[in-house]
Amino acid sequence: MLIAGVLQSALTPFLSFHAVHPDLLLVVIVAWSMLRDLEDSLPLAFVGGALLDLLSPTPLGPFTLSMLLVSLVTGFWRDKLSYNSFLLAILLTLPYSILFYLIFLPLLWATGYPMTGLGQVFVGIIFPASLMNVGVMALVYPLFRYLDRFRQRDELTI
Amino acid sequence: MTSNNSKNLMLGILLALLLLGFGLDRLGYMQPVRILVQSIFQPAQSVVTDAASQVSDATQRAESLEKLQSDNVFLQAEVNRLLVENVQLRELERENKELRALLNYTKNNPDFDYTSASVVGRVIGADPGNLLYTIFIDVGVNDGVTPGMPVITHRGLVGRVTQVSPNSAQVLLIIDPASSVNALVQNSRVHGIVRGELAGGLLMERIPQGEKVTPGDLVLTSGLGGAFPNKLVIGQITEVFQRDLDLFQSARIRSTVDFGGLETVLVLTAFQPIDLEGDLLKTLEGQN
Repeated sequence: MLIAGVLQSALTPFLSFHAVHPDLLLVVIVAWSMLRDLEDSLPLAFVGGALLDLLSPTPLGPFTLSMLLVSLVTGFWRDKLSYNSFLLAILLTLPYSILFYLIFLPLLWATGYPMTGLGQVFVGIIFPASLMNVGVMALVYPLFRYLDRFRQRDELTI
Repeated sequence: MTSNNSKNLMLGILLALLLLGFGLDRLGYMQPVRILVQSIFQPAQSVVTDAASQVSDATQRAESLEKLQSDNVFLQAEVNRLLVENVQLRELERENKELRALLNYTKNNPDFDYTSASVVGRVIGADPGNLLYTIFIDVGVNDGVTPGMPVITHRGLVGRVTQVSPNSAQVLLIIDPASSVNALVQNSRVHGIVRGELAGGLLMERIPQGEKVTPGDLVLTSGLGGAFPNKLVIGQITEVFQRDLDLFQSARIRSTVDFGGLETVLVLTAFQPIDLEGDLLKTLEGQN
């Protein structure tokens, strides 16, 4: 999680396309929430969100709560959908990313940030960033699934 | 304990922790934690940024359009340089006239010397969120940087320092929605407030109705409020929003600074920002 945080912060200027960049930490948390129980994914979402809050000028809360809620929703649908389908898991990153921003924006507003040009924000930032997240998920999800299966195999061996 | 109970308990604990953290943050007790996180991240950010810079440079060199690109960058830089120079010359001309009229210009209005007092900070990271605009630079308390200090490039105003750790500092860019800068239009000397937008743009608000503001006009810091020195270039007006029903006009501004390509910035360490809110609180406390 710390590595993802460092990468997201340090690589942002290099990964940006038209001032928009993928949300690496969000992708990591969504991928983990798709593969693991809430007991495993919620603490990760908490730590990841708190990290983003601490690195941002916002008060502690908006990123953490948004991450927790996205992880919760992802985990809730885990029981109903089969995230084993690689394509489904990747495609669902789009609505989960948009959900993250839909939770984050009102929280940002509640902490005193003015909300101007929301249409432009959605078209110019939220949607492109969510599409980028889908692309990143295509790389992250197979890796996490491999790690998860590797871990499960180890647990069975023990 | 069932699995559901265990999940609910965990969620409850995490939410309680979040609430506690939020409360402590609002009371200012999380500042040491923020500084600690920033200090831990700074070396790693530097390493990753160096590596990414090298990769980025190598890739760019290989591109066949490199020549065109560099020409374009050069010309853009030249345009910006001339723009800034033009602004400075006009300001000097105006200042010269005023000073000549006063006949004692050596006593009045000493020029603000910012280049000699600057600390060059390399940009080592940016805000991890898409809707907030901050950068991290590799100078901090050890280099004489304190919160509130203005940050600029040769192209104009970048933002101000909001947090400092021993070897790094966080800079709130002027395009962040939480940022506001007192500004004036160079030609008409009309005052307003330049605010950042969620989409990363700049909007000048509180321009009085009836004042003539036109696209192409240059916007500078006014120095009002004491948070920024005056005469720093902010940008150029691209669009004016005027409705008779509104109390004020507003204008969209194109910044002269390329926030996406920031690599090195200057921190104006000689400038001491005035904390009006803090001063007011102290005065009130003194009166009580």
